[in-house]
Amino acid sequence: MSPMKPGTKEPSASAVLGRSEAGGSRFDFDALGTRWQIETDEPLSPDLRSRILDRIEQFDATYSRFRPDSLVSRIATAPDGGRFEFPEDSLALFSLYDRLHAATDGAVDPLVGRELELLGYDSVYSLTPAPDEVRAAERARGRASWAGDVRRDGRSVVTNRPLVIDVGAVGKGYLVDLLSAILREAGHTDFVVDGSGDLRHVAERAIRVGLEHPFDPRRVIGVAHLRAQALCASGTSRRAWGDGLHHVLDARTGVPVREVVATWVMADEAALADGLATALFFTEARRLAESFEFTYVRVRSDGRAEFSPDFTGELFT
Amino acid sequence: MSALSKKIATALVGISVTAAIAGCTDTDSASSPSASNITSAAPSRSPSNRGPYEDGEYTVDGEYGTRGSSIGVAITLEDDAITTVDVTPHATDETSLALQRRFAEAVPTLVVGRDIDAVRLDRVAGNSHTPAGFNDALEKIKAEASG
Repeated sequence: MSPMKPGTKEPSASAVLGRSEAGGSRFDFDALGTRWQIETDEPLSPDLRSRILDRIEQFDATYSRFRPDSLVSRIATAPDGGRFEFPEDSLALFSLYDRLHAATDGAVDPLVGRELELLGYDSVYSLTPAPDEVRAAERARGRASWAGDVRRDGRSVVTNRPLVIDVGAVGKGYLVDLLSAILREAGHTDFVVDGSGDLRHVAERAIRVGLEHPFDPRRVIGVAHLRAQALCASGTSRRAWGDGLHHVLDARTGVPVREVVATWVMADEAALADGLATALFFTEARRLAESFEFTYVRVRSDGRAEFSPDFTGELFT
Repeated sequence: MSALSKKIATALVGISVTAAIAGCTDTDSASSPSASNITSAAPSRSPSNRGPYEDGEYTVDGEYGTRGSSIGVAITLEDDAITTVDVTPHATDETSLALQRRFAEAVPTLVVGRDIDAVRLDRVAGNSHTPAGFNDALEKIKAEASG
């Protein structure tokens, strides 16, 4: 859910291997600006740990709009656009964005990056909205959309003006999936990848995941029973910078949503769960269920929760 | 089982409706949500449904329709108040599953929450892990605003 953060040049500096409370092994590191954990029954080998950190670095170098040297930053600063070659991993990422964009009638759109910048959620974290005249000038040019302003040809992305791509709705979940695949290929069959609340669980025994109260981190509103699936959370109450400004924007209007304050989605893959956790801020679950397999909990700003009856877990109502 | 189950099912619906009404009384809450909105607005019990139920876990399987569709509801009672609700769909066909999803959406309930230390958890998923860069910037702005 979180937009891509500045990458650390030497990610291994803050990476730590330790013991988990459950008696397994735990690998802690920073990625995309937040703290991650991988919990395994058997310790990760040094080779596997460095492959994981390399994979994160590669992802960050492509998709972080907070790094001036990233591919998306080059696209954002190309005055007349151009043709840009993405890595293989872009195919699944962008095709999921296509589906989310369609299912939410354009509310989920990677080009929301420019709107986030205008509101102050920019690469230097100014947290200061752009002056009205700047925003008005931007409006006059017309708002760019994923469906209308980006042409894709295999791994190539073709643009004809500067476009700010923000893969925040799906990117963190997708990276959780990519790291899970690396662990699986290395023979691990019992693990949790936790990207700061975007989780993928691979094991026989279910784990209990608390659903953090949107306004009080000392409380939980329920518990999800997660087994061999992904669970992703999204919320607006913490990453807010005043006067109704936060990081979940409807791409069609550029305005932060107000009706929903927190969502949790369980699905087979973390990229999908992450994207749907964002989509539920704009679109009814019923509508999304026409296109995707998932279960969810959604807390509205009036404090009421909606949930799918097949959500495995409990809600404290 | 069925008589007791029915009573409890009635109590469940009663509490949901009461909670929903309580959640609506503060019209400002939609624009300025706060912790107290969720944690204090929920009635701990429903006066109209107060009854001599024993504490513990109760389960009910509600059957409906002509195709043998059913939905399972498990609740925990403490002092006549429902403290947890666990819903399990048993639908085997697409239509029933879709209907059950719609049912859930039609009855949004107020979430009260519990102290995190009072619940056995392996992990937590939510908002608390905000990017460090964002937090630093926000602190800086707050300091400038107050200084």
